[in-house]
Amino acid sequence: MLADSLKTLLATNFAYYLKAQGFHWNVEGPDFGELHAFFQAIYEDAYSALDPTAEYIRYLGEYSPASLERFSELTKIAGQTKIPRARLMLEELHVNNDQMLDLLNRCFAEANNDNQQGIANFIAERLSAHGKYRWQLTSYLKVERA
Amino acid sequence: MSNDIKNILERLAAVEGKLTPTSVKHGLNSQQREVPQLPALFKPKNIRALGSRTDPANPMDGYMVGERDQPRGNALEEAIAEIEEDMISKVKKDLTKYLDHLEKKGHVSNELKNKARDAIERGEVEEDDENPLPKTPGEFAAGAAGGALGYKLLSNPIVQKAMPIAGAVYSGYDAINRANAGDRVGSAIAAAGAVPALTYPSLAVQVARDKYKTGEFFPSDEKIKSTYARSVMEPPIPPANQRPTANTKQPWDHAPVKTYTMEDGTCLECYGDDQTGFEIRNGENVLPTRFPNIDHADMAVKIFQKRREANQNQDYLEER
Repeated sequence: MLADSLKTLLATNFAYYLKAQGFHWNVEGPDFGELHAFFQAIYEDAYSALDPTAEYIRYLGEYSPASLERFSELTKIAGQTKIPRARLMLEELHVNNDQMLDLLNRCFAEANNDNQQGIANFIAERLSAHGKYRWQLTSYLKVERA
Repeated sequence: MSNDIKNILERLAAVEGKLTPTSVKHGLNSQQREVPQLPALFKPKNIRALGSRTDPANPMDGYMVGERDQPRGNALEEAIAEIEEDMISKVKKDLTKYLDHLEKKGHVSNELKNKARDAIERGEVEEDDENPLPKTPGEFAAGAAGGALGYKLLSNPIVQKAMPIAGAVYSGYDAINRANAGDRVGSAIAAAGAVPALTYPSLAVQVARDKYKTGEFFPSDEKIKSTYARSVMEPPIPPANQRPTANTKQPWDHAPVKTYTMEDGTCLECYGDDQTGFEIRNGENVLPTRFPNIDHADMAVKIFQKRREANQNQDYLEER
């Protein structure tokens, strides 16, 4: 059901946003400035997607989850309680970003099946944004080109 | 850019092209006359990323800017020297890699290497006055292989495999370099039988066979053997009928002398005794390095633990 998938998407996106912001706060090392800004761009973008996602759930006639407890039940992305070093942050976010892409693709297919073109359009934009992050994260991780 | 300026630049380029390089006849010194001068508005022709005859990375090739400060021969020599240096470093790298591979494959420690290096550094290696050691690498190889030690080692199929692995190869190679540099200490190590295994295999084996047949042995090989070859040969190779098989259990195989539990629950065990030394095992895996006493093994495990802990800490820090 599309509304359930959107709830999962909302919770997962929240976890992704929180992790990116945590990395933004805690990143250290010689590339601090660059990564600090990069993580900021990611978490701001992820945050901007939370509200529309919740509103689309309401649009479909369901209530939106709105507690950390419920989010932790629904999310597909595990939180990070430790402070990884910079490269591990990038690697972790890369994996999580791929999880987001999988989830978005599933939601996109369901939205199209349900003939919800508005939602499909919103999800397509999110796919595009996460596709861009995938490219950027992959590029950061290519050490052999440095 | 306006059309006027563009027009002026094009005309200037045309004039410049006519002036140089062929038209300028005056005001140049002899060196400048030798080579075509680069026009001020030079624009490389026929430069394409693919299929171009001109090197895109060096479009100015063939033109000289200003005066020549060095004869061309020097540049050529420099280029040749650079290529040689690259080749040498590549050979060195490959050799080191190969030796590392052999050592790892044979599970042989670096004991001999380190021992020989230490001995050389301390100047403890002495010459035999009555039987002066050879001075050229060829003599080392032949002399070493000519000894009973060399021949026996080389003719034994097991040792043939073990020899290059045993760290002797590295020492032998090092010895040749030292001998070439006039270091006689290196000759003693070469004489230990290390050299023929890698550097002069065919020559050494041939000479060894000839000398062995005629009973002509390298005079000081016993001394050298006792001094330097011990590490190479340990543990001693018993006759074929007494060789231990895979099923032969050493007394210390039964129970570990000491066990260490790592943070992740892995259990490392230390086996051995004071005669044979100690080794550390992780399940079926055995650390190739053997330790002369339990304290050294203990220290190695502690260092390993600390390093591992440090690595883990580097990767993930606690927020609390």
